[in-house]
Amino acid sequence: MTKFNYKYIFIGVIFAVVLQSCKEDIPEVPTLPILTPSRLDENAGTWKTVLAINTTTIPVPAPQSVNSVEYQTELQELVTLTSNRTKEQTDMANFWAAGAVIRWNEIARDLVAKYNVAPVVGAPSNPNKPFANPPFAARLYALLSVAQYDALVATWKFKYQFNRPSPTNSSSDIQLIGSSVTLPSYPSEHAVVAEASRKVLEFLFPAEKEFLQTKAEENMLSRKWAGANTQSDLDAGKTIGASVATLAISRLKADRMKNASDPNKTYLNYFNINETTVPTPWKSLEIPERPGMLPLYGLVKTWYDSTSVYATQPPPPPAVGSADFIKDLQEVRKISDDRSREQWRIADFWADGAGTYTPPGHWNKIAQDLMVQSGFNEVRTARTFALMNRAVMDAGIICWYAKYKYYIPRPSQIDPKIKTATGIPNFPSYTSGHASFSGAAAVLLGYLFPDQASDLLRQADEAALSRLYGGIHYRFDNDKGKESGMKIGQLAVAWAQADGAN
Amino acid sequence: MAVCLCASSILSYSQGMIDGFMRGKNNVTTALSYSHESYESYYVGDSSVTNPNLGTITTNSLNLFASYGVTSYLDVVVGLPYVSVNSSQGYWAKQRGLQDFYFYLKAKAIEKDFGAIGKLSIIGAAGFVIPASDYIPDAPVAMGHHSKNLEARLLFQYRLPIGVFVMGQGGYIKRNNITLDRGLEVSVPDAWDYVIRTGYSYKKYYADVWLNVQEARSGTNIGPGIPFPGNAISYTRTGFNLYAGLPIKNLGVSFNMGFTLSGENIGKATRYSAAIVYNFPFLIKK
Repeated sequence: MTKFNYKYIFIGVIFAVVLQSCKEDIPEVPTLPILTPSRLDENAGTWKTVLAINTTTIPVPAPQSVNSVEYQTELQELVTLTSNRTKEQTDMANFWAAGAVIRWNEIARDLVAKYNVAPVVGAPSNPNKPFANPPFAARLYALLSVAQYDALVATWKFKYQFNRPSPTNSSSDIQLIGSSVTLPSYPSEHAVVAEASRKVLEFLFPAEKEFLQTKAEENMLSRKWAGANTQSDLDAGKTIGASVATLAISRLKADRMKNASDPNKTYLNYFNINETTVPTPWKSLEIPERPGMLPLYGLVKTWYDSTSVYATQPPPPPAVGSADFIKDLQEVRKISDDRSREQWRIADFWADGAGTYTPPGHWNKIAQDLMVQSGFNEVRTARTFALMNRAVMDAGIICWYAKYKYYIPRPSQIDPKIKTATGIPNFPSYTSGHASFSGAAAVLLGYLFPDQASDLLRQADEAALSRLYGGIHYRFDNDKGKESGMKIGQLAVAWAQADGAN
Repeated sequence: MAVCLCASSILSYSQGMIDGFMRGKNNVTTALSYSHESYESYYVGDSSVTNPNLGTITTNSLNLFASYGVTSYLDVVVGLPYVSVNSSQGYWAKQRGLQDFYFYLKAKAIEKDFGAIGKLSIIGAAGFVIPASDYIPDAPVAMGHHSKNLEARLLFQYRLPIGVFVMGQGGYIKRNNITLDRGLEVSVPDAWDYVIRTGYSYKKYYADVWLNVQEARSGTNIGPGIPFPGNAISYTRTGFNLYAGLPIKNLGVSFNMGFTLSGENIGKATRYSAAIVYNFPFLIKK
């Protein structure tokens, strides 16, 4: 009769497990704090712009006075909106209050990840579906940041020229979401960034037009829901964003990127690659073979002074088969033979391969985290991204120049027993893109965040080493790539020392 | 672009693990099995593709298994596979090592003997799976998803006195989130799992055929940059098991095959395995 006992309890436990577990636990999305600037940078309107913006050509009208009927009506709209905020509007206001530059940088990173998919071999290029590979991404981040930065410098100039107090200073009935730090509100920095970013990204990702418009609209509306900007603040901001984006896009059209894919392989001639000059040429290891990625990216227009940038070129690599070459090849083989779990982890952590925001995107994320911690205001955030992303792209240009000039095979091409912990990129080995991008980014960020400088260099070293651990780069690829990258980082530092923002 | 080799399918392939038969008090059965599984095509979403840069993906594994009858109605089942995975093309490093340790409790809740017309058993089972090594979860050539799982199952088995039986079971697999090397936390989808099986057992012989359906409750499709452990893996598989006791006392051998009929985000794999089964004599009463 005591046969009842624990088997029924056991069945009960089973059902409890099933019931309890009937919900997937979705990882939490980290939230960003509301931006509370540690300083206002009242003089940012005098900072040096990248595209030599002339604010007199931007048609921003003088704002209506605070006491005007028009402005009072606008303020009343904010009173109504902020006292009737829905949950969704509150969430939206909080989301964008983390900072327009940061949020648009995130949107750009997400789009890069979405478009970072290699097309089918032999498919004709489709302008609606660009391949957002690392060089493409480096250029996109640079251009986006430059447009944001230049537009914000112009905005600061207008802000302090017109000195319109923020809406909450004029009406105590507006319920603000965001920092109460009193930056003049006309023109709205959010509208500037939204409009400039939308236009630049739309140019690069034409198929995302609708998505980007929705985001820009949402960004601008969120400022009204937050009680931070009136309609005329937004309209003026939009005007600035649009004019600067137009300038940025014309630079983009003339930067020679359109030649970089070089389908007719003119680079072989340009770099004088033949059996005599390069006896063991690089070869695609993909099946089917795929033409190398962007062979003429090394000729794309640089951001910093081109003579100084090209002066950072790496020396010729050790010849394939030479003692120095064999030594580094054997190191890759040894790692491939006994790769540790930690080496694999590092290879994977920095891989930022297909379907991700790429290594330049990774450095944008690193920069973002540092800036969020330090409460950088919008214009200073944009400046940091613009300084860094220009250096990162220039480092990419020099790296790509060396890749196709020296045409060094990947380790697995020479020794097929070398197995990898990451995908083998479809372009020559010397120098490492990861090392180049990372060297440039770490030096510039280390200048802006001196107490982080050594850790940033450690991260750059790790990013470079990750490629050796992955089995896809020789040590000399990393060392020389990092050297050039760091020198280009110094060019960015020199710019930062002289742009008026110190 | 690539596929995750789900060597974890070993678990779902060896349904013998949770069968409808109880060990009996103090009986211990152990088995050492070797399996070979391979596929060239795999499903991205539900469309079948091949990848010339991976070629054929092959998994070889050794599995240690033991089952112990604590009482006549409670069994403990444990196992630990050692797995080796490689691809025939491309350069992805081969993976090998201990995969996932599994532990189940299996309890016979109800047994109704209808005499000449058969016997009905209802069995509940619950267990957990934990990775037994720090293997790599997110690569085209990988040993598994490295998640900790909880699992619960309910089995119904009806057996005729002549030895023919049918078994049906349903279970739920709760998989914990994992953190990838790239720092990302990923939700590994939970799944429903169903098996039906029919077979014949008589004295030292056993044979069955089975159909297994697993359905992910959520998840992504295989794609560039998309973490493999977050993929929604579903499949329909079928196969058979054969077992024969050897003339040598307490020793038996088994042979099993499994075939993938359809699926989502998993290899279209065929699997063979063979095992030596040993029943420890010193605990067997009678």
